[in-house]
Amino acid sequence: MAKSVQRLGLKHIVITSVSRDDLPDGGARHFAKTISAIKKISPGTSTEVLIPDFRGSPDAIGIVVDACPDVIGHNLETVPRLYGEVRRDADYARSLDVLALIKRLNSKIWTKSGIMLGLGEKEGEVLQVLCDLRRINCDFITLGQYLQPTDVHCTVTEYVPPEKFNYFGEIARVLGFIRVLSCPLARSSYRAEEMLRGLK
Amino acid sequence: MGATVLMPIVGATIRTAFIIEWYKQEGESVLQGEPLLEVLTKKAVFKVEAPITGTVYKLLVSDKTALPIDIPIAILAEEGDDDAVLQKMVVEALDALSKAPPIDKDLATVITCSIADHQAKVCN
Repeated sequence: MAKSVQRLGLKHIVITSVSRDDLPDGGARHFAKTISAIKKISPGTSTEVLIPDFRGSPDAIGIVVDACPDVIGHNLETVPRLYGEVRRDADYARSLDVLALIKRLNSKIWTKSGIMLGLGEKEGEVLQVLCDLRRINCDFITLGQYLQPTDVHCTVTEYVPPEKFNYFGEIARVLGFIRVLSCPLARSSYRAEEMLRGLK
Repeated sequence: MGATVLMPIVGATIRTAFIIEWYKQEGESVLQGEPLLEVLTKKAVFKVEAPITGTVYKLLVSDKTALPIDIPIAILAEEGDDDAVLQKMVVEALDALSKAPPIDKDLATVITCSIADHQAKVCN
């Protein structure tokens, strides 16, 4: 991975993984080693990791934090009411705790989260998620349109108009997020490098 | 006797609130304790409950509006209320609204975002 980053001359990289709950550390050491390797041979590249919740393990989260990536992202994905349908094995409070712990362990690491719209969430529920994230000092937020990847995934309830994304984005800024990306095409890694501009 | 609904005080540091959505429209009946509207502050989203059972006589402020706390936002009527008395309550409430302190500038920016159907306006 580090060699690829160096060879491609990347300014910024977003690293993610599938959930590795089969591993004792949930894959945290693999994240940490990858970050360290990139920093070693490509020190000018900013690093961002999009991590699973590691089942809330402070040890696993600490391992990733100790590797000091510039950004650690963990997506809430949707509003808590829809977790049963959209994130069956996840827990809203636990995901918030993950982001809160990262900030407590190293306040210099930017924290980032994202949610998908169009799953049947209500406006007030989205705004409450934004408030919850700001309460734990989450820095960056992305809001994007949910698209159904396969027939077995949740159906799209609504195609949210761009104006509504602008509205949520405006409120997110007012609530104190340092960087906000809110548009139908936004994904957690979308234009990720731009979010760090002016912050280093 | 009808009731004037105030934007509630929700914390020592909160001076401005933003109406996300009215759950009830003028003329609709409402039960005491039933959510009347949903509000955003810089800390949380919360629901404002109807203080009495009756009907919504007048919504003084539209949704998607940022405004100070502790000012009138609606008038509720009880069965048998005198219309002249309710009208007087509306006039007094609008007068209080017109003298409301300025809102936090940052929350005010929400209402100036470039969305026609989300622009703020005070109902007349």
